[in-house]
Amino acid sequence: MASNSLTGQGRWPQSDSLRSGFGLIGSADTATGGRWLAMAGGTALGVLGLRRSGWGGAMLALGGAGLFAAGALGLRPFGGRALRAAPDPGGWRSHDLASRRRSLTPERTQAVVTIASEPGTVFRFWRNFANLPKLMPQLERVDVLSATESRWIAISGGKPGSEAVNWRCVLDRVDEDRLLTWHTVGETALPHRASLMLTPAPGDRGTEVRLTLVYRIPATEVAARLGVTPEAQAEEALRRLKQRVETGELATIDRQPRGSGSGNGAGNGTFREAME
Amino acid sequence: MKALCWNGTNDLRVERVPDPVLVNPHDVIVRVALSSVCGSDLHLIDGYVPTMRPGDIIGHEFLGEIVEKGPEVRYLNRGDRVITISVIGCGHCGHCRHGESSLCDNSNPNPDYARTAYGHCGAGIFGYSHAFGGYAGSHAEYVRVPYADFNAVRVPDGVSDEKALFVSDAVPTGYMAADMAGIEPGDVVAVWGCGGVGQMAIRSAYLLGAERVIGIDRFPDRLRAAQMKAGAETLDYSRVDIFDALQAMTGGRGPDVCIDAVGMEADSASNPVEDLYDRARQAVGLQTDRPAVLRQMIESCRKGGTLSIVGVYGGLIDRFPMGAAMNKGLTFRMGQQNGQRYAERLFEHIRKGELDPSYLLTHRMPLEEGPQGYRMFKEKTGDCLRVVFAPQG
Repeated sequence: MASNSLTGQGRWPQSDSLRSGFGLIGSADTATGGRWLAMAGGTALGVLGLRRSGWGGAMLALGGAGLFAAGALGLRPFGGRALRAAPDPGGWRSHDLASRRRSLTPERTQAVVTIASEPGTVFRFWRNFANLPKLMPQLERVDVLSATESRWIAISGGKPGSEAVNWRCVLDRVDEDRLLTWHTVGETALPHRASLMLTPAPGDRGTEVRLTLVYRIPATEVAARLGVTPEAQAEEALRRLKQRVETGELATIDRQPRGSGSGNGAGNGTFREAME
Repeated sequence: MKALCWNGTNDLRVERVPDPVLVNPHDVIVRVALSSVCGSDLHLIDGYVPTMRPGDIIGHEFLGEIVEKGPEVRYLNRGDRVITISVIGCGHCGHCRHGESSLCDNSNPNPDYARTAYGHCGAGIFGYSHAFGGYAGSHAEYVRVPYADFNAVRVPDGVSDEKALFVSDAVPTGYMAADMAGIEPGDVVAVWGCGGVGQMAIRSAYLLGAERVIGIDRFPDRLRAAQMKAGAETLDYSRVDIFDALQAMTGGRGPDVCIDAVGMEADSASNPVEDLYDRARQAVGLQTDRPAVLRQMIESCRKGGTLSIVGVYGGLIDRFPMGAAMNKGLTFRMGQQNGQRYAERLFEHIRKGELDPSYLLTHRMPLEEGPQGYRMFKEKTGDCLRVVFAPQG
């Protein structure tokens, strides 16, 4: 990394909340960007309008003022989602699609990742459902009951004291190294079906892995019972699958050292003092 | 152990923290012998890079000895003297396999921040904010190194600690800047920024066949080092108009290759209006980075030339002369360093005496003096090119 010039006062907006830590370009950022765009565009149009004479100029100025106001007030001059509702930072690109369909049931979530490995390796790992708790931390275990049946036991619903959710799954389709589909059977609070589709990526780039989850209840209800939204569940599962298959471990910063954060350290020189 | 922790904007403190432990099977623990400051640390300290958390240990350029290793580490042993590449790769994903380890898919355990801001997430970096993984840094007595077989490189016998240290970050960053630019014999290369990375970019440009290299800075000691140690012709941007000077030096063509070794906190001493504009917009959050160097490079570069960017940028820039770049047919290459790809080659250059990065080390201090060391580096007093901490005393 390189940098050697440093004289400056401005800085990126800092935030107490790491989730919104990116300030301008972070979380709600298409939206925030849209606001700035509207305000900047509005100013430009306004100036242009005021410079011109006649009706055209007046209309331009008026339009500019409107655009600026829309940006400043957080309306949606360029469309997009509600400006203040930040999407989950883990959002995948299919979210728009998912949220547009929110009113319909069943709700369908899809995540996709490319894994630098043969389809067979990926398929075999997933095919053994007992492996799935390694990919979905919300699962306590999966008991394989027969060639097609399994029982999934979730860690108690994401909230302390809440009851653990269980369900039974049946495999419908096993298309070796290409497709796996399964669905829940019997009484369950989380009725759903799912599929894992594997396609060789072009040019020796590995395997494209697509996980689809179709819940028959709203995502909010899934999140309440499972402690995770279907989107986050699918995305996290594929991220972990990729890491497991490619590297044999999960990247982590667990248990690593850090300072107290309060600044009450060993009391040696501090940078503030040093700068004074 | 002792560690230098970030506690808020411009608030660094030496603290006592727990020792790191092996977590994953491919980890090693390195006892740090030397750990260098880097210009990009200043962006963290100054608060320009978001997602720092109070208590984070900073530092990413280091050399040390392996004291513990995980059960699946194959090529390294306890007692090995190693440098660690500052940008962490997993060694297995498509990017790592293709020598682009700074784009590693797997080494960042917190991909959401970067994915939200950038569309995709890059590799983890030691001590470089939670957007880059949140890994504990090297300004400490011990560091945990993940995927060690890929990221830690044994230092060849006969290469001193001082010569080897900067192969962790500054040397491969400078080398990559020159390598990406596809330098051809006869090329004139201009390098903005004569700090550690700029110095290494100058040397590397010569190693890769440049005919002339021009170093640009405003600090006399850095310009002197660029001239005396790296062999560059130099320009002081606070005294001359860079565009005019570069055209005059290149027969009106402009440099074939322009390298940015400055990044987001660039200033435009020669153009106070532009400087004020950039600083004002940055201060109110309308742009995150100051693009003074980029504008100058685009304007100065020869038609059809290449811009190679290794100075760190974080977010958005304003008044980017896209028209000039497009109509001049410029090529842009950029990125964090892929040191894993270059380390062996660089040690070979060092062993043969073709490259000696040790002159970057101008000040050596115990870790307890970390805050003072960073002050010196930030204010560029005492002809300071790089301060290096020796945490073992």
